[in-house]
Amino acid sequence: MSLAHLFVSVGETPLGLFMRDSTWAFAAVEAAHLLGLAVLGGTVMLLGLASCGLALRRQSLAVTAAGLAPLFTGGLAVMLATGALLVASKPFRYYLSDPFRAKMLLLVFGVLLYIFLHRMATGRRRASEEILKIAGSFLILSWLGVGLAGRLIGLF
Amino acid sequence: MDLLFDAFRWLSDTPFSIGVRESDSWFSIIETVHVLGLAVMAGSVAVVDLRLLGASFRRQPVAALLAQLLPITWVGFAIMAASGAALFVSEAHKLYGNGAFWAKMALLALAGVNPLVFHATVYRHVADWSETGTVPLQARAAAAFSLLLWSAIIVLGRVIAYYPAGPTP
Repeated sequence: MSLAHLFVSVGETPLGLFMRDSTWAFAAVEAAHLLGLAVLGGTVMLLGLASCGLALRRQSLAVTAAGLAPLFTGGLAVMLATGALLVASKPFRYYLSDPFRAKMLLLVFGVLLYIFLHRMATGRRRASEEILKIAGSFLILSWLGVGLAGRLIGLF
Repeated sequence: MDLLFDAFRWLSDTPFSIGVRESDSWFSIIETVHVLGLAVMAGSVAVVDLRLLGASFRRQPVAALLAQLLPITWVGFAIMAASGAALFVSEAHKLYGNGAFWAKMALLALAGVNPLVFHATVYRHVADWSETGTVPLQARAAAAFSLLLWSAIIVLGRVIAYYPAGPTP
């Protein structure tokens, strides 16, 4: 099955049809997507800034990373679930959208970078400050890219 | 209330407002900055609230975590206030009759009062409970109220764009 078929069949599930036909379901799911963004975006910013030594300086990076991990997972879960529903409402539109494709690539990169940084921060071997700063900056940039691409989906 | 409407009208007739309205991209750019500020501000507020509710950073002293997150919250707030003001003036004339806008402003006022009350009351004795495992009920209530308020503010912000016609499929 091709990727295009997968997108179409997602739209033909009962949930997909409901998302397509209900005016308020789309708006409600979009609002929940935004609530997830607040938590996920805030978490990413805090870990990124802390890695660069710009936030939460009075506690170790390991403590910060461990404390933020459940918020990252929770926020990501909400965003993925609501995001999938949004896609299911107009699968072909998303399939053909360049910003959507860019967003998905950046999302994978952003998630991998977060896991990498989390492991570096909580691992037994201390990573050098330079590496943490570089990884932290790239983490913030990649997630800014995810957000920006997400905004562009609605404009193009 | 005619005076208020005149003020809104005047704001949306300033060169800045007209410029934003007539541009293809400025409104979207400011809106995107507003959402970025939202992540920084609401995210840091959520971390504090979840700590008070015992859902994150459970082993960190409350006072130390709050003191470190407060500057981040203020940075986020500055971004939100500046971009929000720009969005407001660029379509003030339309917002005057927008119920979601007024509801959001009312809840924002409440969200401003909530931490003031929190700091003036239960947080004054934070040294007594900061490092113990139990957060006083009043502090937990303030945290739950704050999470609820900010969630409603975020949702209402989205509804403003849909008001009054509702979302278009």
